[in-house]
Amino acid sequence: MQEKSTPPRFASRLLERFCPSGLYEGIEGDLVEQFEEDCKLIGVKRAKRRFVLNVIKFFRPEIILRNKFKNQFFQMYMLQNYIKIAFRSLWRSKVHSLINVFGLGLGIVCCILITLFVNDELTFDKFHKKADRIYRVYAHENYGENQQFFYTVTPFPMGPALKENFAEVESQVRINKIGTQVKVGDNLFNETLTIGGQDLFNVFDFKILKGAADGVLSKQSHVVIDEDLAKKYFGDADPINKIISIQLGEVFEDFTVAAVIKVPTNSSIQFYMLISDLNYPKLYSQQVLTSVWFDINPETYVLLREGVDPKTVTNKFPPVFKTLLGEEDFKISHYEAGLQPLTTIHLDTSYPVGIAAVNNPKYAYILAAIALLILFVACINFVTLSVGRSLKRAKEVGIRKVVGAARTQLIAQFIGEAVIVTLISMTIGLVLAAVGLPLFNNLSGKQLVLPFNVFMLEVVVVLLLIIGLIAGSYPAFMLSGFQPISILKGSIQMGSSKQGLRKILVGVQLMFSIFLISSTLVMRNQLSFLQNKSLGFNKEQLAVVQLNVPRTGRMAERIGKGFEIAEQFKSELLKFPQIASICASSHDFANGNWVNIGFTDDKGTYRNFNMNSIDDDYLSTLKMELVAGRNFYDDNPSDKRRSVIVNEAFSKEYGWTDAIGNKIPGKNFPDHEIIGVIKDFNYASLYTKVAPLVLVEDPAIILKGMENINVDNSPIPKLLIRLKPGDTAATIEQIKAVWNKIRGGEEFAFAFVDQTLDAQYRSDQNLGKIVSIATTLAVIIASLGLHGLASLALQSRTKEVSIRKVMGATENSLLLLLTKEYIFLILICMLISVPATWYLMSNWLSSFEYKVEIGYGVFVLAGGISLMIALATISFQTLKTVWTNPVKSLNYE
Amino acid sequence: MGKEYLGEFEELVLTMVGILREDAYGNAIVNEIKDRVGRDSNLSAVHVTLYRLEDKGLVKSSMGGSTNARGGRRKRIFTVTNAGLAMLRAMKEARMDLWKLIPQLKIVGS
Repeated sequence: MQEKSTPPRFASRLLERFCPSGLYEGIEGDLVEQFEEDCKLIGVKRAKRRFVLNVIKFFRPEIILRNKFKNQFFQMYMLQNYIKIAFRSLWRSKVHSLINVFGLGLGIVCCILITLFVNDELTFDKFHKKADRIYRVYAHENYGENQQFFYTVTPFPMGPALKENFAEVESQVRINKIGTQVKVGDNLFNETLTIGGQDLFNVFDFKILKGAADGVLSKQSHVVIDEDLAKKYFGDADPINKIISIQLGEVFEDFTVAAVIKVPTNSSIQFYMLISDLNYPKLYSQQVLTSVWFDINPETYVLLREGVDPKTVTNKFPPVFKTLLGEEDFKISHYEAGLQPLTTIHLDTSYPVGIAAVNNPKYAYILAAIALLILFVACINFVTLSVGRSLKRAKEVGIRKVVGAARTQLIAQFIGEAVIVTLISMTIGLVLAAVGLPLFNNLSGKQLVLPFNVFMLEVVVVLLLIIGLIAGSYPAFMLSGFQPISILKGSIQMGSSKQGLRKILVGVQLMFSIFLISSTLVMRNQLSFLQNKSLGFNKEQLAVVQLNVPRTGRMAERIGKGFEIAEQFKSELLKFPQIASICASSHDFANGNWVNIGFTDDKGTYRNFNMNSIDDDYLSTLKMELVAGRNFYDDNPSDKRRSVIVNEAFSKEYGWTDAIGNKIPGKNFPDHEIIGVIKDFNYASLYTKVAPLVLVEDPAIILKGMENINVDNSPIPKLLIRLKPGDTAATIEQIKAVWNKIRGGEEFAFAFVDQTLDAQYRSDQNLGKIVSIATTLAVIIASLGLHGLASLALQSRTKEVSIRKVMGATENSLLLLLTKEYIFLILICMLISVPATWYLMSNWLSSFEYKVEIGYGVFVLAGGISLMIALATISFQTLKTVWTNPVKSLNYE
Repeated sequence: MGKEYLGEFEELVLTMVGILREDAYGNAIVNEIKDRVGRDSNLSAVHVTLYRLEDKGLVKSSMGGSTNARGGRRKRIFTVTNAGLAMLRAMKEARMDLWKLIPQLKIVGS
């Protein structure tokens, strides 16, 4: 009855579109036949669906590529003409082309550099061949409220225990670092020595420059050093098989240089002097190495066997650790170990920092966003300028259309022109990137190179296509859409009709500029605030000299010995008139955390404080203020034994109004008394709040009563020397001479406190610098665009201006008339960019404990700056128009 | 034998064109493959293969007469060329030669 159900029309039409005409009939016939069969078998509805599906299945290259033969040939033939016209039109408007090429070039430089940076961040640690099987061990301990520990360094027995108990673990590597002294010939150096597991070179792939890495670490007396150290010790001589002495424990031991390596900068594991963990017994007791589970030191890395899911391993952890730790300890501590993939270490800030440094991914994001912003601004320039110029090209388009060009051809032509411009900019960009790379490396703290490899090629091609398409497609579609008749009759009015869009685009540029300018200003404010904030002590003209104490005996004894050496220096150095005062202290500033002590107070709450051992000259040398009580007196012998000074934060933590005479509320601390309260000073960075602090002359008071201690940095005393203003270099020489007299042969490690303090904020300072540079670039590009736009807009109003002038308008009123729309535009842009800036900047500032307020002043200033730049750009053009003699612009009609 | 190489599916389609003779067009080949080999094949895949064979000169095609079925569309009929036949034969012989080299295993029933 129902005569025939027909297949969906749109599908047939689609097929007709992409299918070569020669093949179309045969194919469609087959499809229809199948459809008719399907109708009988599975019903009309499903048959229709299947028909559409079958049509889509024909959409494959073997079919489509048979298509375009004729067309392609035609385009090939026209190509020469297109290229010729492209260069002619570029040449005809040199200024605009220059703006385009230069602007895009700048955008591309930023993109290339920042892509390199981001790529480096994202590929951290991925150069190891087995990277996907390497994990770092971490552990949680939870003793209830306030007393939770989470660390990515582990006890010494961790590695061997994992290897022994789990078949899935192929090998384990422990890595830790100690500060030590190295003797080469007669010279002594302070170095950081890395001790690594014997399988280090089997698990990780570090580049060996000289010697062989195989089995290097299975020999106890082998040492591996890096290129730079080899140069420092031996100059250009071959370092292999040279002997150096490294102090391990009490004695110096000879090591043979077995290999020279290079650790890439994108490795979390950094070392420059490496010996085998066969040396552990010389440094740590047997007990610590085999059975103590709550003394954490090395990072432990494990290599899992191929195809092993880390989950299956960690799932088996609890019972094994229960036996290893003993049931009781396991229960109290709620011990929970886990595996963190090696490749996530670098950017994952949710794990505590172990030995490997961790970077905040925020910086990569910020940089990537900035690069895209600049590129976008440059692309907008391209669009506005090409649209503006389109009037001149309109006739060409009209003629081409009349002669028979298809719309697709025109689109291809204009996109092709955009790609040509991009190609030129790309060349400029690559050259600039190569030139600017050292500067960028300096700012980003990386050692990037411009690689000529597939990756770089990909970046270049992708950029080329994206920019070409973004920048070229709007003008292409707009130009090709003209009606030939109206163009050739000359009835098209470009100037006014497309102003709206161009204004929006320029507005976007201005918005970005205002955003970047105000961000730069906020960052500057914050950074100078950091630099100038009073820290609670005087950091100017203050020098630090590291003292060395042999690694023997208990910590407290070594600290005591350090103070004895300090006294020696004091008596010698204070003879010099240039030295105002000297003190000694376990910790200096901005060199990592101070010793942290954990204890349970009388109410059973677990608490923390930092501790520093000082001498009686500390407060006066650093110019700190006491809020209450008194300083240590050297003449008072009981001060050394039982006196303690705390900071305000400490007394606030316990809610004391008067701390003098009180004791630290832990029951295990021996007899002691708080004799003074010191005003809070920022001994850590300004990222964090001032934490409770205890100052003692004899650390034994605290060490005897504590439950936990966390030593990130050597508490061996340092000399803090306050210099008088004057010839600093000469004074340093004097100090060095005294050093050589007293500690001759040892390395003289000298630094200024204000410089080290500044270095803490280096990554933020560098970010600030990069943002300033980016801002300058973006503003330059945007004002180039504005300049181009203004000149185009004014061109179309020349006659209007002339007539107004003839009618008697003053120059001022004309100026106002022509610029007021731009002023309005800038005001709107400010309104939009203020909240964005405010949001992003408060986000950045939130990482600082001490920060500036984002005032409206910043935005007013940023708006003012962009207004001035914009007006300067526009008024140049405007004045030119206003000053033209009306006769000149009117007489040709 | 030239350097020309035939894929497995190409060979199958070429054989079917030979079998169907005057009636070898896209749909018929799909059905024939289904009937004789029991294999579901895609119409578009068959078409693409046919065009490829045509490029290689192993088949040639012409439009058939119009009918009322198929929405009035004519069929594109494919026929095997001499080169195509030679290719089929060469492949068959090559395969037989290889087959003979296999030690004739006894089939152990179980």
